[in-house]
Amino acid sequence: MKKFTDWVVSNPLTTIIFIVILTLFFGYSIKNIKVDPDITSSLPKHIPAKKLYDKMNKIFPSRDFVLIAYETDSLFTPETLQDIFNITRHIEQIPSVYSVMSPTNIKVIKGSEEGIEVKEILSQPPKTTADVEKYRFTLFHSDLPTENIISKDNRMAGIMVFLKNNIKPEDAAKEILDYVNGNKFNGKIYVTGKPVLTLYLGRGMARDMGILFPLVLILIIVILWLSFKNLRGVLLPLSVVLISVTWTIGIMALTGTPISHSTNMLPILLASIAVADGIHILNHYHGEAKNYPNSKELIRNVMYELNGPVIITSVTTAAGFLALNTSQIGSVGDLGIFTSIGVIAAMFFSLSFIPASLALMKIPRKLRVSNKTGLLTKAVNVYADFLIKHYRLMFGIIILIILFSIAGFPKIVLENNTINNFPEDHPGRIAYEEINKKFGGTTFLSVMFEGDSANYIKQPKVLREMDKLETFLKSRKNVGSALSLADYIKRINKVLHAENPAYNVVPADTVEETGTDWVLENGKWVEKEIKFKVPGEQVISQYLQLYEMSGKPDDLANLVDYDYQNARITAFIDDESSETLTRLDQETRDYIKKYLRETKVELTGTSELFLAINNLVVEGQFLSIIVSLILVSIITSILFKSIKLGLYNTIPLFFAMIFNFGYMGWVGIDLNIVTMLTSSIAIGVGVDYAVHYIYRHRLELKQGDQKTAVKNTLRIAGVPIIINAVTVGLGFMILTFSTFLGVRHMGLLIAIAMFTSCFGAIAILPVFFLNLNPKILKIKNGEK
Amino acid sequence: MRKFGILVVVFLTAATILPAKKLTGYEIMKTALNKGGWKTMSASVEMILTNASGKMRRRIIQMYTRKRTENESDMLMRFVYPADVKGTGFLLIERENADDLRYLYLPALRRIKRIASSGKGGNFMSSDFTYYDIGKPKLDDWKYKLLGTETVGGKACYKIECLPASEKIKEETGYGKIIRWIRKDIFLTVKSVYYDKGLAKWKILTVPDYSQIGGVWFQTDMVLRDIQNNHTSEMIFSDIKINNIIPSKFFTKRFLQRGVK
Repeated sequence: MKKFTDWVVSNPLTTIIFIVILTLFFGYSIKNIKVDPDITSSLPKHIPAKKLYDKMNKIFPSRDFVLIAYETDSLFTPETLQDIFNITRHIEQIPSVYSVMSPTNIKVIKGSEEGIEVKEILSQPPKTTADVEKYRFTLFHSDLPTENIISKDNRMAGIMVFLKNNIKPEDAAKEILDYVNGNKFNGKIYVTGKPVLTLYLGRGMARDMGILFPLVLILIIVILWLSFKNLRGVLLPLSVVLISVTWTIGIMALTGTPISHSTNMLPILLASIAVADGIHILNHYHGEAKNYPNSKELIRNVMYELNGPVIITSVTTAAGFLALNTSQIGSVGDLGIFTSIGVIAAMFFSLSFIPASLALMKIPRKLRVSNKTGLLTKAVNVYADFLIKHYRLMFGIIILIILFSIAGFPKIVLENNTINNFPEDHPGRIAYEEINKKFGGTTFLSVMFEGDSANYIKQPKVLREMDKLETFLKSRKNVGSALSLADYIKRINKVLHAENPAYNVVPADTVEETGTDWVLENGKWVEKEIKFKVPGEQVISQYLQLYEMSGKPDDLANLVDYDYQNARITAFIDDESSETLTRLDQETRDYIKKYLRETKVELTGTSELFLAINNLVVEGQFLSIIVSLILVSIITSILFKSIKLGLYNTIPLFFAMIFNFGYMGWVGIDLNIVTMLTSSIAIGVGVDYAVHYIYRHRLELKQGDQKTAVKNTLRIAGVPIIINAVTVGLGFMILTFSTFLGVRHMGLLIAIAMFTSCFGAIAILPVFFLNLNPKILKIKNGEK
Repeated sequence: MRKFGILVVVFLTAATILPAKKLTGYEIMKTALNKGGWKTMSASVEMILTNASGKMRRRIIQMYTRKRTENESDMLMRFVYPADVKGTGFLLIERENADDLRYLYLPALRRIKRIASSGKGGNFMSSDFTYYDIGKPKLDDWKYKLLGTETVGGKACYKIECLPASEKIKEETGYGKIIRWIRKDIFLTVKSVYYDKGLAKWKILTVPDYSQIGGVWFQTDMVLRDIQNNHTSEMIFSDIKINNIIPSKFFTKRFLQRGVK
């Protein structure tokens, strides 16, 4: 390392130019960065739920939908219906829209004495009250799935917009939102659906990026100015922050990694972490200034001393982030990898850019050391005395805090729905809640019926089981409506039998029918009524043909595939909570196991994706904590050349973790894809405090007993530890200004973890050492 | 006119009518749609529908058609394949001043069901062809403009722009514009591009195969591709016979159900 420092200090210009050129290159690459706010797209492809979901989307042309709700006191009036008619017509024309189902265009299967008619309910908006009444009657008496197009209280009309699969759903959502917001209607409009929430997520992310990053920079500038009161003290660490963020985002762009709901936080996390090394170096530079004749000598010696600590703290931090890769959730892994890269980059710039720059500058004549430190030192001394006197009491308090925290664990709620991430007053959340309260629901569960060959679905036994399962699904709490091909077959069967409700069933395996036939009687052809038997499958095939004769090629494409090999039931759910989704998943699987004999079915849909994310969060949470603890222990064990000492470093971390989860349980912060990140980050960053403490404590132990060592260590190492924890903690606190509750919670949790791991280092470790007086702390002869 | 319908379109050989002077778009279309070609026709039609994911539906139909009046035709179709709809019959009676009559005979029910008209713009047997497309071409529904000459498949063609003659035609057919390429020598449409009401490109008709039967040129293979919805319909004609005697009773409900009995 010395050689590196020497080279940098001797070739400062080369170093700086090299870094600047690369930074320009990475900065330029950023223009290609992709943005992907969709939380479900970070599910790994090999997860069964995701595989099935992708498979389903290959079979059926439309996956995502947007629900537009039109609220008015007078739904069934010519004016309102005209509005809805117009909106429907307009949305149908949007190229990314696959199809629209609204109260004004829903297809009605109607029967007449001699035939059947399949057509849109309105060819033009009703003009008179009588027309409206007629329309209303048809709407409610045609076995239509009205749950998602007419609200339970008849005050809202729902327009379901199914999007094509080959477009970006959030772009379509934007087009729809722009249209409804840009036009005046008589009623109030709400728009929701996963694409809309993803759009809002993206907008919130952009806003967060635009506001939070500048905020964290301002915070850093303030802290740097307070610490150093000179320009270089501000500019050099700030440059490290900006350069490392630029490199990291540039590398993300070059590797095609998108800005996601997770990686969106990267710049803020990285900024808070990256500034710390610079502060250390400049602090030391100022402190040692008197002792060296020129800037080059000064910085050379400062770096000789700090290379080690800077590397250690950076490597542990990077290790903590890398542990996020144990999660199978792509975006979480991305955050882990790229923050690690950023942290290592920041380390590299702290070790090169800062000394190179300082080597080019003169030592400032007036060097001020913050007088705050003086005050803080005094406070720490008082605290140290108290701690040494009452360490048993302190021990008790710590145990109590731990027990209390653990008691909060069972209260932790696992919740990954997108909607809970939005503040309650967010327009997206209001629309979502309003619509899900009044309509069938916007989350969906799909049951896929997979056949082994074409026409499989046309078999009566298959359609009967589809019908049975659909009826079961509809009877479940929170399932607002469901659609399947069986509905159409039943409806056609009924219509062709004079609307006789007894025929509102899937035809039997063999159907007994009455029809007419032409027979030759006395040399004349006459039409005679006859009874005959016919296979149900033939009946169904011909019903479908009858329907196709009046339909468009893709009319049924969202229910059954083109050659009738695969079909699906789509059940709409009005609640996205993990509790509801888990229950429905379980109930449905139980039912299938018990009652479905003939068919092979599989569950998928957004509901299954959310559940899959939940499982990955739990699994990933567990693993990432363990892996980060192991990685950190290995590094500290190497550093202290002792596994036992290495493990001591994790004591404050355990405390911070326990407190973290206890806090989540007691305060009611959900464990989710964002808050799960907290632990590993906290471990990687928080371990530094323990390292600093133990390192110093052992040095002090050479000169005295545990008590003296504690007092001296707290005086010397305590202050920098506290300053660092406060700086980094405040940086993370910036995240609490995020649009999203998940990010706010995470910012708060990491900040708290900084304070608790700091507390762990300056309270638990001393108390632990005072109580147990472990021999291993003693530095052996020969050890440095 | 629109597409020619079923195969339809026809002309006499060029020599008979070609005037020496330069033809207008209207004259070219008139020639192309010249009524003199045939009165009745029967054929076996294979219809292949392919959706966006490449899945196919295949049907084989025996078809009989006649031109009943200047602007009206009748058509009887019987499904031969697939097995589950075999015997199904479809009778279409075009009416100039009223909705077409459409009847389907379902052998599984032994009943004829009338299918309410979805208008001329409705899809014919859920293919990309509309009833208008397969019906008798109506020269005066459109205004024509000769855009020039282009080569399609190595043959010189007139390129003709067809614009709906009225709002009604536009609404009914769903077409805001059609561009046709008509072979100069035999006056057969070999390619068409259909635009929707918003004038966005919608469907493309290509004619991979055509032949002369009884002195009349027929498109014997037509591929209509909906580029907006990525769906394709192909109709392949074989065993074409023209001006064979098809009795009038073929085009009745009674015959639809009774068949050849």
